[in-house]
Amino acid sequence: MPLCLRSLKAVLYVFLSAAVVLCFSPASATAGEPAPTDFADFDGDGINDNAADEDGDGIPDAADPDYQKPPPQLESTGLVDFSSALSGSDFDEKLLTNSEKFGQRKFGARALSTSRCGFTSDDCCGSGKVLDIGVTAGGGACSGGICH
Amino acid sequence: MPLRPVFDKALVFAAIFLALMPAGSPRAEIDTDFEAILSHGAISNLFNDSNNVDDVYDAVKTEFGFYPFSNLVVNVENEYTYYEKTGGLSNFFGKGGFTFIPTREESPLSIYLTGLFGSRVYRDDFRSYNNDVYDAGLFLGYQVNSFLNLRTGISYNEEVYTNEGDDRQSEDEIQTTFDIPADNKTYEFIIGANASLGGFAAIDLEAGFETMALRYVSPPTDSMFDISVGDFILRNYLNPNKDTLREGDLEAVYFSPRLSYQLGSKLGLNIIFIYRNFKNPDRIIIPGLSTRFLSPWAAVYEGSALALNVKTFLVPGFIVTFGSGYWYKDFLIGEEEKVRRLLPDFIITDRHDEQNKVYISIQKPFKLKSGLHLEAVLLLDHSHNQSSNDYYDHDRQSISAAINLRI
Repeated sequence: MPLCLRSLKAVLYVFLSAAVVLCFSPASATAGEPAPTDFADFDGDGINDNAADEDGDGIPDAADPDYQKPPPQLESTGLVDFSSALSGSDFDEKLLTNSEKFGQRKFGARALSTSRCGFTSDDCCGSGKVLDIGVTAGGGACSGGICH
Repeated sequence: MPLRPVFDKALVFAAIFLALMPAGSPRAEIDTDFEAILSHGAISNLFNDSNNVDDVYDAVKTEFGFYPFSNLVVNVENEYTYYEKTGGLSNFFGKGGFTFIPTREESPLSIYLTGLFGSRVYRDDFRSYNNDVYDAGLFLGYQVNSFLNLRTGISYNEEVYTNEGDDRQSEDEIQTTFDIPADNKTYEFIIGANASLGGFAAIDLEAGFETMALRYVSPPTDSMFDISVGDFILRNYLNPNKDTLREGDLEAVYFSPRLSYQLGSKLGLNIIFIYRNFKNPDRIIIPGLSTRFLSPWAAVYEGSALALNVKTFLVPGFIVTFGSGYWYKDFLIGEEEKVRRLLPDFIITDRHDEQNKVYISIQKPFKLKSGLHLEAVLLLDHSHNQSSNDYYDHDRQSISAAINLRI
């Protein structure tokens, strides 16, 4: 498989070069905003996994035109804010349903179970499903469960 | 497949599930979720070959999730796909499984345990491809610090073809093949590391070792039976009267770096490279039509792939994903169809393909006042495949539209 072997060195060179450039480049200059301290991308879509998405529509709040900032705290209304008596973690624990709690755990374990090149990978050496209808990030759709 | 092994596996899955039940939090609220997807699509080349058979399909998929505890979900999923022209390809797929995550989100250690059983049933024309699937996996992740995460995992997959041998529709059609001995078991071990490079970039490295237990025929040590026809070598073996099937393992290793980068708050991109290598693939001859469309061997190849994907929110309220990829695929030696008239209908030969794909998908999510999540999806893709066997030279376009409802 000479083609593969030839391309392997070239691709690795491109990767290493890109990594070095990105690592030492001033990211804030390209983004026009300060770099987040909690940037993480486990699913590989290039979007920060930790970006807030309050309505769960898949569009981070910072890019979501539907997102409405929560109203200011009840300081001037004279009403009592019972939730303030709870710490952040207690608040979540007491009010969330099982599926919401499971969603949090799943987020903590995201992308753990995916294999990019297993014999049983959905997209045959692609990069995993991006949509539930079977669209694969490697390109192409699965027609009725058939992805080959 | 005999009933007893199936029954044994079902018992193992049931035992694992029951063992996990008490591990959850009894204080939590039991609840469920439901998702339904309706899709409609058109494909210019249904079988990914030079026959260019087009078709239109409709599919409905439902998924029900039950959360008895905060660390466990039990899923039941059903999907039916109907093809208008090639009706026999219409199929039902049902599966049930569980995912157990005992660790909390904030824990540096993550544990992910999953198992499922699935069954796919085709209409009569393709019933020889009916299959049952068993999957199980245990995956661990560890956050070393805020920039570096490590992961490892093992997984098991078994495919059982429940109507094996039913492809012999007539004596004239396939005279020199064994029945399709397509049952296989795969064990996989993976390790990976994900590192934030600072700012808006991350790199992810993954490597894996896989071993697949399968049945095959070994090639003869001499080549006296080989006949050269152009660039093909016809091998006079894989004959049920002369050769015997043996059981063995196909071993493979792969390596895959992925680089992702976010540009501003509305655009992210990634580059993925994958290289997979088989150990001594030439000793394995796959009986049956090895790379024919639904065959499990259609996804078993060594080679490399390079893909670039972009995800953007630049169109307000929409998620747009597009990308392009290149694949080099070197398949196992097996029986192949061909188009050259001088050759017999089925030949035994090597096959390697080069494939290019481009695609774009557009998602529009809605959140209704009732709390329902609704999403419309449109996908277009194009691929071009060039093969060492003319039969598999083809172009393919498809367009799909779907509505996704989540409660």
